[in-house]
Amino acid sequence: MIEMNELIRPYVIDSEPYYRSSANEIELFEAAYKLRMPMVLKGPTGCGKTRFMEHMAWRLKRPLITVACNEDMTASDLVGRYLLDANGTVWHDGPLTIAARYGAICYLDEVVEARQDTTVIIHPLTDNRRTLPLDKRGELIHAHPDFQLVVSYNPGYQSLTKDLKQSTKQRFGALDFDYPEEKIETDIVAHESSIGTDIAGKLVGVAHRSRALRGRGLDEGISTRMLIHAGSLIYVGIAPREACRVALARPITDDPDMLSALDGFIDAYFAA
Amino acid sequence: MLTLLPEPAVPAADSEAALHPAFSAALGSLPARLRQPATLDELSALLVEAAEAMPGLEAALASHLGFLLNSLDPGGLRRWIQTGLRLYPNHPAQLVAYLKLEDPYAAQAIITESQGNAFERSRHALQFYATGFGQRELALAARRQRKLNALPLRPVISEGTLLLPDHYLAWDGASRGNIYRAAVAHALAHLQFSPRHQPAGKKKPLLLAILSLIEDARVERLAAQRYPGWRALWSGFHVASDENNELTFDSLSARLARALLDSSYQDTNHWVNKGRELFEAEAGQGLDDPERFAEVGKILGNDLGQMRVRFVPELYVVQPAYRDDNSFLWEFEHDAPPDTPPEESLSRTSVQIDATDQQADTAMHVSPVEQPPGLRVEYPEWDHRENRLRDAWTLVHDRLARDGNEANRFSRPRTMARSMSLDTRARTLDRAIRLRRQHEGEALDLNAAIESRISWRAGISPDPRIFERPGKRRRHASILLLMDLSESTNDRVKGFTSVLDIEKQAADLLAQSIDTSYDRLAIHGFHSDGREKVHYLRIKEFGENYGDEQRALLMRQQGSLSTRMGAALRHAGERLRAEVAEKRILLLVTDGEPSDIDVVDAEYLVEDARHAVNSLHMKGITVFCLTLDKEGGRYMKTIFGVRNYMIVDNALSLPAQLTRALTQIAAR
Repeated sequence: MIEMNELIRPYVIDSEPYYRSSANEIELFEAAYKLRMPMVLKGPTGCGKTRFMEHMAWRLKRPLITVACNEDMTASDLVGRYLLDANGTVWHDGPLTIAARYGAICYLDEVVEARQDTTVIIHPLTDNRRTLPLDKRGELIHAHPDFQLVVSYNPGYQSLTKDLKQSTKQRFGALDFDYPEEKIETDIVAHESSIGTDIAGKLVGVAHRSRALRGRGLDEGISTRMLIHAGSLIYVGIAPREACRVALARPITDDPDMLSALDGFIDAYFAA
Repeated sequence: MLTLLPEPAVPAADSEAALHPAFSAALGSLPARLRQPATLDELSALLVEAAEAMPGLEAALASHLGFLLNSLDPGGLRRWIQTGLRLYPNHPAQLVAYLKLEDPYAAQAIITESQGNAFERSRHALQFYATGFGQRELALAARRQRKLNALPLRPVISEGTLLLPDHYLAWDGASRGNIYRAAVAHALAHLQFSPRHQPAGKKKPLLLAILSLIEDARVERLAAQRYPGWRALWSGFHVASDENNELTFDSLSARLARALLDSSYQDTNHWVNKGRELFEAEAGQGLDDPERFAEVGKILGNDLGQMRVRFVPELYVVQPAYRDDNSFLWEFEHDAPPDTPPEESLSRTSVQIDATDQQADTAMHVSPVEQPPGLRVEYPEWDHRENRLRDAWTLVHDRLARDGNEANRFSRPRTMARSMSLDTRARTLDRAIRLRRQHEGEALDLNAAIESRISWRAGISPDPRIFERPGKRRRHASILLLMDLSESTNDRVKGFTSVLDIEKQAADLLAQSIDTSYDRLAIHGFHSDGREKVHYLRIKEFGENYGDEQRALLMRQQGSLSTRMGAALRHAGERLRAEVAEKRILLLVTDGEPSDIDVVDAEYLVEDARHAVNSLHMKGITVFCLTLDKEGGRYMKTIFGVRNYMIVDNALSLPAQLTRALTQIAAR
């Protein structure tokens, strides 16, 4: 293995994270990494964007530094800041700086949550300059050859106030993610929650019914992640209908009519 | 104005004459709460109908009428009587016991019917349910049973529409589970697996009924393979049994239906068992081919003929109640000679009955092309003399002012005349706004603190502002500007400028000065022509840009007719309620007090408007009125309350006053 800075070694993923590809996204991402092209992963919540990223980092044998973005985040939270110690001030690199300096993949999860003035600091890193100026420190970092920036966001709850600037968007290549097709999703749920494919298939069926209601009363359908929760509950001995109500229906809506319909889907697949 | 006179407190003369003396006496002794004209009318009509349906039993019904009406509304009473009639169609003695509340089932039915199992209550959930199973275009609608002693209704599947009975009685098995869900699931099974509109040809009604039954069983079994829970859902309604070993068609067919769905059911009848064996033999080879099952149906139908089982198509309804009438499966020749026995068209019964029934008209019209030009919504109106809300008293005709051309929606916004004239004091804490370098706050501003430390160590006087705290902002508002477009707004104020012109200028100014990224504005107008014609015009919608087109539309509006304020306020309130905003403001601009052609009592519409404003306040909507009527103080105070109106003495200053008023309200 190539020599790696001690600072980023903890971010290396040792064992293979389970990921079941549904198209040629792995191949595409590998090509993008060869070119160090910044990438956006788009897709609804819980469809496997983060898992895909972990899998790719493992596959490419690069450390993965993940930052969950929120609207309270500032540029200093990404690039770093001066802190005080006994002898005076000392500079601490932020996660983005560490990744750029030592060659990790930096993954900004739900990047639209960060405010636009924060996200512009990634601009010089994501064009052919591949530099990160640290103005407070008077330093210009040239990104390590292995460095790549990946961001993710969910177009579902994109609103006028939460969108990327065009100037940000246009620096990235994008991969579209969606819930996998029925057969693959069944395998995923069965694998992740250790239940049989028959029950997993029914869970996926319930999810498909709910996804038909997307935009017709539901903001989002039931995600693969939720199915895995339900499957895990069933695996530890909770009755399937109970598990589905807890893990699938109740979390996604408070509307009594919608709940009634979702419970109806569950009852249709799981006879008492 | 005639329409507003209180109706006589006794039933109308003609129905009174038809009313049995026992009922007249019973109605007279009702508590005052129930002696409302509208209720009494409905009741007496129902009682006349009941007297026809069960002659000689009036006294039995009248004996407990007061008690019944304490727990049931007239609709519930109707369903309760229906339940009795269906329970004991040919047993007058038992029906009397039921009506006198001596039958234990009567009490149970009162409880069920007082809660009601109405379609309307579960409509939304059912629509979601159907959509989830892929039927996005399927509209759900109600069929109404108008006749007291008619056959119970069954669901009907037609292109794009699923009609469901507006009520399922306890008698139908409504208390045994979610019957509407079962009905929708059954319809979904048909839509997915059944061949549609096969030619019925010369098939006898009995054969059609059996073929339909077999098809029901086939699609249910197919669907249950995929959705095992449906089998449990449906089997709850299959209760026919061989207990009395009846050999009627109704009993035999219901038992066969049960035997085909519920494998644990045992029947002693040879025909039922034969049907089951034949069906299972075919099912063993796969369920996909309906043709093979048709053979089973023919054999069974033939057997019934030889068993001389009587079949009366006019009295046959599919059992159990969740199954549809199967008219979806068959196509009848329309040019059948008129002397064809009515039995020929069994499965069309529902359709045929409906054809004479007015309800059927709406049922048939559900899918077709004809689109009403706008929305019509009924609203109640407050009658202050009787101290009660008249249900569905006014009819609001709501339409878009433009001709429905969608492209207009996105016309370019006009450049803003002035920026954010709604600047008011910030009210709400917002953690997304962070005020840095503060003298005090809830957290250290890390960068400022570090700089301060650096200065301190360097021997420079440090900046003491090292804290940060969250900022505040004003609440987002949805504002609906409701313009009075009545005749009186054509009055001249100065030269050629009318009141309406000034209203328009005010609306124009407001629309241009609103910051659309922060607040949402709609401009609507209204005028009325009697209680059945309250016209409501949407000139600019929420979320629509205010561009040249919208402006031209606004300027084109003309004043005519009267001002029925209450109905318009209620409708505007409903429109506002759909808005998700932290503050919802209804701004009314008018030039005088409410009036309409059918109202003589000046107080009537004022009190109604007051009632409307109060109920809007309870729904969290702020209502504010600007009036140009200098003498309007008295009724304005009555309608809107002391703080919620403003009299604009100088009409020309209305535009400026409007924005000022809005600024104040937004800051509240």
